[in-house]
Amino acid sequence: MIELSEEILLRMYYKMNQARFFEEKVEDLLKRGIIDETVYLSKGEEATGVVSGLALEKGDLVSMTHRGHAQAIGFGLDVNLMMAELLGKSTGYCKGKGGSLHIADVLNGNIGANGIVGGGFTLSCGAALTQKHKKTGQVVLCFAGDGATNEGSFHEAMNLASVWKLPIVFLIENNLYGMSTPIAKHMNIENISDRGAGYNIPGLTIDGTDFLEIYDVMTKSLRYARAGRGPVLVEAKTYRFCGHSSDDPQVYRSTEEVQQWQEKDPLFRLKKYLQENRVFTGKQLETIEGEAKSSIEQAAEFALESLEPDITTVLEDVYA
Amino acid sequence: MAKEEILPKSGIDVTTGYSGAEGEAVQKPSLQMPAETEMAATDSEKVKPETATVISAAEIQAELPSEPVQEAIQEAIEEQAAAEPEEDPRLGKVRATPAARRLAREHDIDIQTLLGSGQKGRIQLEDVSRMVIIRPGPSDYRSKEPAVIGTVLDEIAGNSENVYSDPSGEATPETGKIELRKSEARKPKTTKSWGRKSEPKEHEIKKTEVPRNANRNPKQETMPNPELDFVPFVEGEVEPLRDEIIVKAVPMSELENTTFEKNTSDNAKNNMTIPENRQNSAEQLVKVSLETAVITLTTEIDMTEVKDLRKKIAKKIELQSHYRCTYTDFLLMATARALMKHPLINSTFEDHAIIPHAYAHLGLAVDGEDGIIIPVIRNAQEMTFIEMVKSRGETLKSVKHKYLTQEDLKGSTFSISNLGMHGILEFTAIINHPNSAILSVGEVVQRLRVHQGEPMVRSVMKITLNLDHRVADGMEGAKFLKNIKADMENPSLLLF
Amino acid sequence: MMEINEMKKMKYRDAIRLGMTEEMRRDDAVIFLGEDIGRYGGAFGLSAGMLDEFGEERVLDTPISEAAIVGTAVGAALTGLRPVCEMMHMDFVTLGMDALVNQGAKMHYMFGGQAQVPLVLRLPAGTGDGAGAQHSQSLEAWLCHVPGLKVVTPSTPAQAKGLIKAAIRDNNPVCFIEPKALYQTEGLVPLDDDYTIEIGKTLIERPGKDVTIVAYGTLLAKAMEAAAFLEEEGIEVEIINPVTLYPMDMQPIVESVIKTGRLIVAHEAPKTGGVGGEIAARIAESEAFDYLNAPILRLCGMDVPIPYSKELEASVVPQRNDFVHGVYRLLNRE
Repeated sequence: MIELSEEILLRMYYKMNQARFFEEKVEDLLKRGIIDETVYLSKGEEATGVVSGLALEKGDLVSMTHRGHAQAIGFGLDVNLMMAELLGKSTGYCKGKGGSLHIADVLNGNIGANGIVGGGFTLSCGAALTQKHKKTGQVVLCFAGDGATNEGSFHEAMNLASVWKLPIVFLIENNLYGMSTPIAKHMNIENISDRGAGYNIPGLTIDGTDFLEIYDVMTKSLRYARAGRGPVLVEAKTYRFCGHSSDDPQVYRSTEEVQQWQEKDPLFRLKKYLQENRVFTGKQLETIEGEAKSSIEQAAEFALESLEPDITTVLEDVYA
Repeated sequence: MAKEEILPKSGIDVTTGYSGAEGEAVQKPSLQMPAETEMAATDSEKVKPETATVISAAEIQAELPSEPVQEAIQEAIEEQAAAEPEEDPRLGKVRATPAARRLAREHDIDIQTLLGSGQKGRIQLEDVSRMVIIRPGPSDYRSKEPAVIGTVLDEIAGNSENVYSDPSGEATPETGKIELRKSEARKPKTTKSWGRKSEPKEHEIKKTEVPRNANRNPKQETMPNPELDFVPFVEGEVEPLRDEIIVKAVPMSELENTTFEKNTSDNAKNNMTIPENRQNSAEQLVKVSLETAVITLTTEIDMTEVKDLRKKIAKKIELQSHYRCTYTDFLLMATARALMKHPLINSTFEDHAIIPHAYAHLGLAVDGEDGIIIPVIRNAQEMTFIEMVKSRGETLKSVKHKYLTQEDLKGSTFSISNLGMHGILEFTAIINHPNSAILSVGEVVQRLRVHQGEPMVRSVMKITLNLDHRVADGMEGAKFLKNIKADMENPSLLLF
Repeated sequence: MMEINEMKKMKYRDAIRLGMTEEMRRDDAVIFLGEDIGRYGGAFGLSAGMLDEFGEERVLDTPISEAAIVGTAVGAALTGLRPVCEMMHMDFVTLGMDALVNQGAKMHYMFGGQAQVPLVLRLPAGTGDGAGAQHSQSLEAWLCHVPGLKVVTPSTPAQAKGLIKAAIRDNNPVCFIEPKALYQTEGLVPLDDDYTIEIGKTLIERPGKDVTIVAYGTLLAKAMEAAAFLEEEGIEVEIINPVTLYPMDMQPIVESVIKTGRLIVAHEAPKTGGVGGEIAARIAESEAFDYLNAPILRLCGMDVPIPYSKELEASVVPQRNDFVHGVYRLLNRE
């Protein structure tokens, strides 16, 4: 078991809380009808996004999924601009033209969330090719869900990345359901990491609720890719507490199952660890939580106060 | 015995009316069931009511086709009745290209009054521009309509220098001869600018603001208007604009002796007096078409000359053409030539457009195996007598041996039906849609006639022209028949 | 107007290679990826010798994975390279459509202008080599339906060189459609390093006053032949080559139709839903409508898959005589 520095743990706890509060705030705004566009929440899955984001080095790149708020926060995107984008405001990352599905910060290495399941695999190959071509020493972290690995692009990207030894870590957040379809009904293997063998890519399966394991495996994988040895496929088993989207009645799973996973709540596990190992005092933890919460409240306020995009901008930026 | 079956067998370019199904049954019922025909005729102008000679039911009964055919006929009638729309949306509408419409609009030419030279009688730019005199020389003509859609025209209309200022000649002296059409709102009104420039003219402003199609007192507008100067294509500065725009405004129904070539501006100039009913020509066309009648004209031709000539040349012709020449060949020749002189008789009437043709495709009604069919002899106007004999002979041979294709039955511009060989003296055939007329040919018989002052036995033949009155009137038809008669009675000329 | 000093006669295919080579020499960020483009030299021999000059790092043979080729190119373009990638046949672009249409085309817009995708997708298209239904299509209309993409097609060797260079220098995803039938055609090509053809500019290839023909790709040459034939009869045909099919510069076409009053639009691709319909519709919406003196005529491929037999193949796409008869028809001569 690896030891994590206090600083890392502090950032981890803060960002995990931020991610959780962010999702809760979005849920709240959805209920109030302030956000009425499609938003996919990742409550329960925050650990994979946040922790692996912290494992990145400066200058590394990320390709996110449609369920990408925690991934973005982990990578270090500004929650104010994220929230503004979700509300379709001019101050958002994409000036209100992208929304939750297309949050991106390309200049800083975040090549965007993706509305197409499996769309990020080949883009990551391209981003990694640039790193290889320019010899930057950077790695691309490509997030994807379990369902995305059934797309043809997964196969093509795995194969290409392996043949060209591209510096990519594919992190599959396996939340056990492709929308409503349980994993057993859409793939005949237990672990998605097994798929790596077909491409001679190392495949690892980890517990996606355990921050320590995630951090450990991700740092090693990133190091492997950075060394020019080719891509790594990491599968993190996790669970989404909420529905697929805001209007999902969740008839496809039992409340017992949800409860069972809620006991493994990654945020709770992190807090428990911090308490048990006396890394922070209860008061310190409260302060961190409070900071995180207020940052999200601020973000919501910032977003609500921001201006709607000027209607004339609708014709802008079709062509560069 | 008047077995009347001059009916489109099939394939005659049936774009409107006549269900288009194998034509056999299409019009037959009109003889057998007069009551139904009458109804059909009023239902739709497309079915031309006939003024055919009355034939007694008994006579027809004797000639009725077999049972199954009758059933088919009955079905066809019902189908046709069911398929016939209440009102044809094309009714009274003109086929014209956008460019033609634009030019007509700009010059207040009533497009309804024009003859189209394009496909299916479509009015083209050229048909309209013939009505407009444009100064020869380098063309600096520009459209007077706004070039840019969505310009705020009110702003620029105030500038009298602006080319968009109304050049339509609203203040042009009115001759009174030309009535303005209802014109679409098309240009910014410049009346305001006049008002601004000189107060005393305020009276005129009110006048000019009256809708353009309203009656106006010409005197109030005869004052010279400097703003007309920029109209670049009008010849002469003093002469009023309107006189330069020659409008051929004679409705088709009033055209006398019109040939296609006469649509030139020179001739149009002679037609400067606009008939009073021009304004209503569109409505008139519709009205006429609804109440249309077929005119029947009969004349007798002295065939003695033809008979003698035929005797003399028959052998030689047969050697050259491999077919025996008949009276019909003479008649076909004479008809083709007469048609060239009377394009209106040689026109088709479709989609409310009259299309005169520059060629004569003669439909020849013949007795096919299962009924009358009308194969077409193409470009008859170009044929020499021998070619005609050959062409007619081959056509009949094709009918006999069933070589005919659908194409061979399409595209006639005029039809001839000859029942003379069956002993019919005189009859009226039904016009083969979309032709405008049909010639019915009777038997050549010996009759006592006064010839060159002496009573003599002469061979005579009666021919009857059935003519759609919407297309041409009786005078035109009469002149046409006279042409044929003249040629037939002096047949040697037909050989050249 | 650029001054053109030196010209050399070369094939359309070689002109494209020349253009690519010049741009790769000029800019290290330009890379070239596709199937069998390296040692093999490309399915049509277009990239022969490029591997030797630029090495495996810049001329990349890919697996047979069109989705990965296009996706990788988009990703690379997004992060700072200027990839040129080749589909062996345009038909295969359907396999890379997601990366092109859903990703590359939209990124600049949906990321609020912060990203650029300077990508060239080379698409050998069309009939002429008896390659059958899955290797002969002209799918430009699909691409012209996607805002954010640029679609260009050169019709002569000189245009091929100028346009591939302009496409590589463009900061947007450019679909570069190369009619395969033109690969072996020859013409004078400027050797100037900076000779480019402006994207988004329609060219008047031949002036005339009677009928306007808009044609591109293989049909441009056929239209030009027809125009030469018709000239002998005193009919002056104006031929317009849009060059950039999307977003198309309509103004020269509008002005031409105002002049002639008659319009024929032509392409090899099937008539239904084709680019020609769009041109016709835009003319109908434009000022030129009031100057039309005949219906607009589309001479297009038939709405059938491209058949294999050479004779059948030629019968489904417009030929020279179709242009001649089309012109006659608009002039009421038949």
